[in-house]
Amino acid sequence: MDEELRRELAATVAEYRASLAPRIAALEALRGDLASGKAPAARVAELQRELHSLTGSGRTFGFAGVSEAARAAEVFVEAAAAGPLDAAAWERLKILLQDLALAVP
Amino acid sequence: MVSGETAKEPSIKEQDVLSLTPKGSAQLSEARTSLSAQELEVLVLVDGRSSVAQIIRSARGKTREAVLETVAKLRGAELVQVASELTYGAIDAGDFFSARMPSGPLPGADQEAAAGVSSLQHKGYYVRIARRAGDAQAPAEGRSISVLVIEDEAHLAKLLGTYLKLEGFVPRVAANREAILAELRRPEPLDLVLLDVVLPDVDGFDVLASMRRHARFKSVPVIMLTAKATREAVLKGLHCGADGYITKPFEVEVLIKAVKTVLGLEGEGSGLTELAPPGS
Repeated sequence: MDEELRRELAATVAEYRASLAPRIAALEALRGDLASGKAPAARVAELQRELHSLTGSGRTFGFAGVSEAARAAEVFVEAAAAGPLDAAAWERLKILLQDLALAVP
Repeated sequence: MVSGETAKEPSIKEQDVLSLTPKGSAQLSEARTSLSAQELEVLVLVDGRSSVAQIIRSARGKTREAVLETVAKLRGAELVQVASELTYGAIDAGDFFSARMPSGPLPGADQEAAAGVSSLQHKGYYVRIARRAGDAQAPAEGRSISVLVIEDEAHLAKLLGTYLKLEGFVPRVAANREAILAELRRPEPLDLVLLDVVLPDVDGFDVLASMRRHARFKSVPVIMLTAKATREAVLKGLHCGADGYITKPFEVEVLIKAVKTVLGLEGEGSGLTELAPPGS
C-alpha cells in the first residue's frame, strides 16, 4: 500500500512539474495581452491569482525556487497594480516571469 | 436512570443534531437528579446543540453503541430532541454561506495574534493548543480520521491527499464553493478541515465563520492554509475560531505535524514522510 502511495506521490510531483512550463507560458501570454491592451485591465487579477497559486505550491513540491520567483512577481504585480501599469512595469514583469521559467528544474 | 426509547420514534443517526429540551436543561440545573453518570455526561455534551457524531467523539472511553443507547434513552425521556432543521440536509448555499466574520474585540486576541505571527514566521505554522484543550474530540477508537482538504490548486490538493493517506488519514477534497457544500452535506463524521484562505469563489474566512455558526461543524478543528503571516490575518482567524495556521508555501512535514497536534495525536504514529525528490 505504501509503495503504491509513494508512486502516486512521485507521479503527482512529476505532473506538477510538467504543468509549470505551460502555466508560465500562459502567464507571459496574458502579460503581453495586458501590456498591449488586448486584454482588459481587470484580467490582471488572473495574473495575480496564478502567481499566488505558484507561490503557495512550488516549495511544497520540492521546488523552492519556483515559490521564490513567483513570489517576487506576485509582490511586484500587487504593488504595481495599485496604479496604472506603464510600459516599464510590464517589461519588468516580463523579466520576472523569465526568472520564474528559469526556476523550473 | 431514565426509561428506554419509545417505540414510535425513529432510531438516532450519527448525523442527527441534538438539542436539550427544557426538561433536559432543568435536569442539568437541578441540585438532584435521577440520571446515571453516563446519562448526565451525554446531556452535558449536548451543550445546547451537538451532533450525535460529535458526542460519540467526545465521550471518551465509551463505545459508539453505548453512547447511541444513552442518547436514545434520553430522547425517550424527552430530555433531548433531534433538532431536525440543523441536520446535514439543511446545508444550502444561501444559508450556509450567509455567515460573516464576527466583529468586536476578542479578549486576549492581541497577545495571541502577536504570538501566532511570531510562531508562523519562525516555524511556518501556529496551532491554538489552548482552544483544543477545551473542545478536544478524539474519534471513536478504530474509526479512521477524516480530513477535508479545501484547496483549489489541484496538484497540491492531490499531493496533500496522498500524504494524508500515507499517515493513515482518510482525505476528502473540495476546490470551490459548490464542492465544499457537497462535502459538508455528506453524513460521514468530519474530524479536521485544512482550509485555504484564497479560493476562487468564496473566502476561506467566510467558510470558517459559517462552520463555526453551524451546529454540526462548530467544533470541527480547522487549520487555515495562508500565505499571509500577518497579525491581521491571525486576528481574523482567531475571531472566526481557527485552530491553527500554516504559512504557504509549507513543507509537508510541517503540515502533518500541525494536523497531529490539533488532533491530539502528536508523538504517535509512524513519524513523518519525506517528499519525493524532484524528478523522481
